[in-house]
Amino acid sequence: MYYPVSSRITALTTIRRERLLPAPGQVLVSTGEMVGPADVVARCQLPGAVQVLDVARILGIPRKRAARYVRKSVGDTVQVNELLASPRGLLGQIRKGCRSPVEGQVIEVRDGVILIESAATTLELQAHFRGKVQNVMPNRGVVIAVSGALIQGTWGSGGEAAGVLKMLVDNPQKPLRARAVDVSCHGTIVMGGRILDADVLEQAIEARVRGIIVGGAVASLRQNLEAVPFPVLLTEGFGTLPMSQPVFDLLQSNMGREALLSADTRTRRGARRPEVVIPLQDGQSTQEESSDILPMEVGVQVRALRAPYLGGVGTVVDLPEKPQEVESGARLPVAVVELHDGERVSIPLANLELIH
Amino acid sequence: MTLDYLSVESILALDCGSTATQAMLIDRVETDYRLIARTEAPSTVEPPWNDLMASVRQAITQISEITGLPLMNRQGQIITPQQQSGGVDAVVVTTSASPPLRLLLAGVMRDISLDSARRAISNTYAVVEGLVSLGRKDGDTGSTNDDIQGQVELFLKLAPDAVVIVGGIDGGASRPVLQAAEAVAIGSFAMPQGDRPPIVYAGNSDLRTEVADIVGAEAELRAIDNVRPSLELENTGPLQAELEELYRQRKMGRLPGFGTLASWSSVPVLPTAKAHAYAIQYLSQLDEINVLGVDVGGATSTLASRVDGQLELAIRSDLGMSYNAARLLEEVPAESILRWLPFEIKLEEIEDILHNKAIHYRTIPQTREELLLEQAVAREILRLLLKGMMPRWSQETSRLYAGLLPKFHLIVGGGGVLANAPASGQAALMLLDALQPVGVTGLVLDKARLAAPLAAVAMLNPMAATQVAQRDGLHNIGTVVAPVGTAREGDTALTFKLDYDDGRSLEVEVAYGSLEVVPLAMGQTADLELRPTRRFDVGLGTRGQAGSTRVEGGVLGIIIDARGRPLPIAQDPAEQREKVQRWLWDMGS
Repeated sequence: MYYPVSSRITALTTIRRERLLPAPGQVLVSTGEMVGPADVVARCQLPGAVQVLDVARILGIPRKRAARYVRKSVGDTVQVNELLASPRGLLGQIRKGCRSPVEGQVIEVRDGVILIESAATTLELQAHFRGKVQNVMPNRGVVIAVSGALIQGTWGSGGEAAGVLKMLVDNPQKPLRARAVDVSCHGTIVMGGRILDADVLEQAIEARVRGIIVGGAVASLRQNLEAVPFPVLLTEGFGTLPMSQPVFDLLQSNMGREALLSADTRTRRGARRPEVVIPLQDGQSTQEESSDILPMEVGVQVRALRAPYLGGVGTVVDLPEKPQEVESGARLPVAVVELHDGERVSIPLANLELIH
Repeated sequence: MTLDYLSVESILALDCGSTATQAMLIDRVETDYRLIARTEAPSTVEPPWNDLMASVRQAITQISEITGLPLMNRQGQIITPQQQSGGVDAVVVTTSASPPLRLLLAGVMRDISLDSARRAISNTYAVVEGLVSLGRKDGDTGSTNDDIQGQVELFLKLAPDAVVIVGGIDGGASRPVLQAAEAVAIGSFAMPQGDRPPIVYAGNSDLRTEVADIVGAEAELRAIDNVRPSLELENTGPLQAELEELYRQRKMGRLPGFGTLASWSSVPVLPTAKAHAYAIQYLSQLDEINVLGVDVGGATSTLASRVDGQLELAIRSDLGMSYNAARLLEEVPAESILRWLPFEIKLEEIEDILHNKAIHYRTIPQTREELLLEQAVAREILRLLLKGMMPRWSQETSRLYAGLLPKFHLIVGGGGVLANAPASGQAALMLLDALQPVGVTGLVLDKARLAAPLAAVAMLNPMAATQVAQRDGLHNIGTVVAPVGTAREGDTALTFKLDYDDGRSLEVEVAYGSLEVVPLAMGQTADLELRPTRRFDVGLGTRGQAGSTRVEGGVLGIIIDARGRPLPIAQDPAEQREKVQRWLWDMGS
C-alpha cells in the first residue's frame, strides 16, 4: 500500500486549528464561545528586544577607557534618554554622553558595552478564524473549529490575513494583470490564474490588498513575493502554471465571502502548508477534516506534481502491480490517471498528491 | 547490549535518509552471508507523520512480505534475537535524516585556525551560518569586534545551534582570541537564557581559564584541544568529535522516533556520511589503492576519499537533490547547469523546476528533459564538493596535475540520482563530467545503497559486511582511461590494445575530443596496453609514456575518455548542446 502526500481541497468541512501563544500567558475566551478573525483570544508578555550600546564607539574612545565611564550596573532600570556613560573632564565637555534609546533594564555591562533589555511588550493573539472555541489550553491558547471550505496550497509567504475574496480573471489560465488591480481591490484578497511580472505586485501594494491567491508565479519573482506586505499563496507552485480547475471553481464560487489566508510555508523541520479557509456561517459540515493518512487507491482524486502533467487533476483508474517504464527510461510504480479532459495517462506514484 | 559477532547470523540494517528509508536483511546462507532482501519506503520525519518509525516499520513490513519472515511483533517492536518464528539477531542503523548543526564561527581574520576549523566542520553534519571575525568587515555574513551591535544582531538572527571559537597557536598571542571570546560572550548574553547555544572553544589552549571567565556561567562552555596547536600542526580531530557529539545530542537525538530506533540498534547509530567514509576507507585499505566515494543525497551530499593513505571527508548538508535543490542556485548560476544539457531550456524554467522540486521533494523526473536536468544539477553539486576538497589533496603525491583530481584507482558513486539513473551510461557520464578522473580508474555504483549500512554492519560482524560487499555490493560500470593533455580535436591522443582472455585482441586509435566505449563484459578481465602520443599522459606522470594494466569488465566495459582535462566546454551554447548529446550517445544513453 502506498501512502502519498495529500492536499485538502474541499467545499465544506469542519476545520480545527490551534492558535497558540509564543510564551505562556492568559487565554481570554471560553470553550463554546463564537469568535471572529479580529477577536483577541489570548495575550502574553514578550521580553523586550535587547539594545546594545557600544560606549567606545559612540564616544570615539578606546574600549578600555570607555569601561571607566559607564555609570550603570547590571539590574539598574533605565529611562529613555537617560545618561548611561559620559567622559569626565575636558572630554566630557566636548563629547556628548551616551544615552539610553529605550526604557528597560541593564542586563550586562562588559568591556564598555551595555546591554539593555527594553520593557516587555504585550502580544495579543487574534482568532484569525471565524468559528467556535472548541478547546482551551490554559495559558497556551485555543482550538477553534470552523465550518467552511478549505484549500491547501503549495507555497506561500507573508503570514496571515483575513479579507473578502475577489476573483479578477474569468478562467484559471489568465494571469493576474496590474491593470485589473484597482481601488475596488482595497482590503480584499485578490485572485487570478498566475503571476508573470512584478508590476501586479506593485499595483497590489498601491491598492492595499489584504492578500493574493494565484495558481503559480515564476521563481524569479520569489524574492518580490516574499517582500510584499501581505500574504501571497500559490495553489500549484512555481512557474507559469495556471490555477487547477477544481481550486479555481471553488474559489470563484466563494467570491465575495470572507476568507482567512495563512501563507507561511515550511518544507522541513516541522513542515507547514499554506491554506485558505472560507468560513460558511450557515454551513453545517457533516464531514470532519480527516487527519488520517489515506492510501493511493483506484477512484481517488489526484493532482500531478511534475511535468509533463504538472498541475493536472484527475481520478486514479488503475494501479498497475508492476513498475512501468516512463518517458525518462526509468521503471517506476505508476498510477493510471484519467485527467479532467478525459485523457488517460501513466504518472509515477511519487509525482501524485491525493486531493480530498 | 554486548553481542558476540560470531553468534550474530541475521542482521537488519536500516538507513534513514531525509527522503527515503531503506531496510536490508542480511543472513547466513549455508557458509556465507548474503543480502536476502532490500526494501525502501518514503521517509516520514515530516508531517503528517512526524515519526521516523512509520517509514522504518513500512520498510521492515515489506521485507517480511518478501521473505515471509516476521521481524516485528504485534506492537511493532523488533524481535531479537532471531527465533524459530522470526526476528533478527541484531539491528544496525545509519541516518542522515536530521538537519545539520547550524554554527557561528568566531576567530581572528587571516588566522589559519579559521581554515583548520572549517576543515573540521566540513567533516561533520554542520554548516557555518555566520562568522564573527576580528580584523575586517565581512559583508553580510560576519562582523568585526568593533561592531558589537552587528554581532548581537547576528546572534539573534541566526540563533545558532552552537558557537565555535578558534584562534592562536598554543602559547601564542592572547589578545585577539580573548577579544573573539568577548564578542561571543556579549552576543550569547543577548539571547534568552534558555536559548543560549553551547560554546566550543578550540583555540590557544593556554587561554582556557580566561575564556571560561569571559563566558562565565551563563553559557555552556566546552573547551577542547586547539584545532591549530602550532603553525605546522593541524589537529581537527577533537573539534570534529565535539561537533559530532553535539550533532548526536541536538539533532539526531531529537528526530521524532529516534529513541525507539536507537533502542533497537545493537551498536551506536552512525551518521550516514561517517559510515560512508568508513566504507571508502575499508575499500581503500583492502587493496591499498586510492578510492574516491561520492554520494549525492536528498538533503546532503558527501565526498570521501583516501589518497596515499590519508582519509578525507567533506559533507555539504546544504546541497542535495530534494529539499536543497534550489539552494544550488545560490552558489552556481543557472548557466552552469545548462552546459550539461543537450537541449535548450530557459534559465527561468530551470529555476521554476528546482524551486518546485524543493517543495515536492519526493518527486521523480518523468520526462527525459527533467531527468537530464537533475543529472546536470548532480554534476554541479559534485563540482562544488570537489572545489572544497581540492586544497586538501594539494600535498598528496598521487596528485599529478594541479587543478585536476589526484590519481584514483576506484571511484564509487552513490545517492539516488546516481544509483537510480535509468542507464548506467548516464551515471558514468555524471561521474566523468563532474569529477574528471585522470589515468586509469575503475567506476562502480552503489546501486543498492549498501556502502554506508555495511560500514555499520562491519562494527558488529566484519565478516558479514565483507562477504555481502563482495557478492551483492557494488555495481561495476567499467574502467575509464582518461589521458591528460591537449591537442587539436581529431588528433590522435592514444592507441590502446585490449587482449581478451579468450585470445582475441582489439587495437584502436583514439582521437582527442572523443569518448569511446569498448565492451568488456562483467566478470571478464583483459590486458590493456596504452600508448599515448607525446602530448598525453595516461596517469603515469610522464607524457608519451606507454604502460599496461589488467582491467575488469563491467556493464559498459572500457571507457576511453579523451575529451581532455580539464574537460573543455564550448563557448557556443549550441555547440556545447551538440557535444553533450554526442557524449550521451557514445555512452549508450
